[in-house]
Amino acid sequence: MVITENEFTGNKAAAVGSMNETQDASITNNTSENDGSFVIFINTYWTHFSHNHGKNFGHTGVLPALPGPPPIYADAAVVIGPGNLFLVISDNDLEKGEAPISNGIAFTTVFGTSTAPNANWYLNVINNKIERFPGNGIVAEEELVSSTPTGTLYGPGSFIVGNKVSDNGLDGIFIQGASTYNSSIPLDDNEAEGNHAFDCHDTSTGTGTLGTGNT
Amino acid sequence: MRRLRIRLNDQKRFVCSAAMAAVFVLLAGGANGLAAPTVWCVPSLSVNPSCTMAPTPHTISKAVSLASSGDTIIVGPGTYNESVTINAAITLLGAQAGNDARVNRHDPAKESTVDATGKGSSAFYVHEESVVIDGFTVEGAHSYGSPTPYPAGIYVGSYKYVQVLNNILQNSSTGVYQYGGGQDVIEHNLFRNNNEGGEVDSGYGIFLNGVP
Repeated sequence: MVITENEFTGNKAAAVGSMNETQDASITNNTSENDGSFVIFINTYWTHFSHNHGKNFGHTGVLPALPGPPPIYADAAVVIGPGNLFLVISDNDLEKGEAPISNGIAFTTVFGTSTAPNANWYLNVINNKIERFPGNGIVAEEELVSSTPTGTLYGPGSFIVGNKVSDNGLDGIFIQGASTYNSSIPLDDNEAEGNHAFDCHDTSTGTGTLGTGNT
Repeated sequence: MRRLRIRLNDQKRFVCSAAMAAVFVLLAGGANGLAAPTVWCVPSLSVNPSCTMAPTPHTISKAVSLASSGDTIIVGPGTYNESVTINAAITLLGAQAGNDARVNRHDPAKESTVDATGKGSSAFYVHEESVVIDGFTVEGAHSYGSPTPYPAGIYVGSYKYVQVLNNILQNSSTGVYQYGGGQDVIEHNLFRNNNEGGEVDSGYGIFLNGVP
């Protein structure tokens, strides 16, 4: 499935929704302006979302990402719900959201927590530029991302590398977690500045989280 | 040597591109010793010099129902209040076939507009592999009281190799709804204000549901 070089505007749920075991989608070089979210991933496999440009998310209002009941609204420009495998989000530019689109990229719990068998495994967030969201630039909400799945034969786990996050209302990068689910996610070569709370904020517990700190 | 530069207006460009497409189809058929595919034209034969047949009544749906796999349907500018179900591997060319929907597509009079308002279904309902939909404006497909699931500007069922190119998809519940299928291409389209279903199954430019 190839979705490339399209323009999206004014679609109040999202430019693209990818759900229910959709596989091998390549979503590249698209633009989004005044949509709800840019993209929503729930239960997808082997997807690439790269070299896309978007701004002003939620500016003209939003519709539910899932109709419910109760209706569920997204909370980010790029939304990663539960159950995604081998998802690459790279080289995208995301600028400015309005509530409820509070975050740039969110591994979110609004669609349910991602515990096995619906865990998110092997998610790579690389070289994205994210600025001016009212919440966080990149956020891994509690108990959603596991980079050390057990009982699998797949390759390396999830990581967040080489992103630039600036001027967001809360944290640049926020790894949340009172449990061990969000631990062991390598964060490397990210640049963060001008974020209102912390540039990088890690409340996860456990070993192996590389290079995070509250700065 | 002086270089000769030829500039085509939109109408000539459409006629030219459609004619080239038709010639390509004819040559491909001839090379394989097959009967030449038919070039259907809506609303009339005058739409394009390549036209070989025009349906009566002069609707896209009628042309599609008469077409066989491999045929091409060329649709001239105008508004067509239809819901078109496609059951053959055909190519549908609107008046803006080949022209990127993101660039200089501001004149509705130059568009082939398929408006599904009041139909309670999708504007295009794709039920076959290898269908091409190129160069249309598609609008008015929404879910109020619909007898069919998930109406969209273009609904693609479980069929592969479908191409959605150079279309403006606007003011429907969803621009393109893909259920199953796979290995399809969605390129150079404009998805605008697809929110017509309200809070139920609405608000997406593209929705991929279980696409392998």
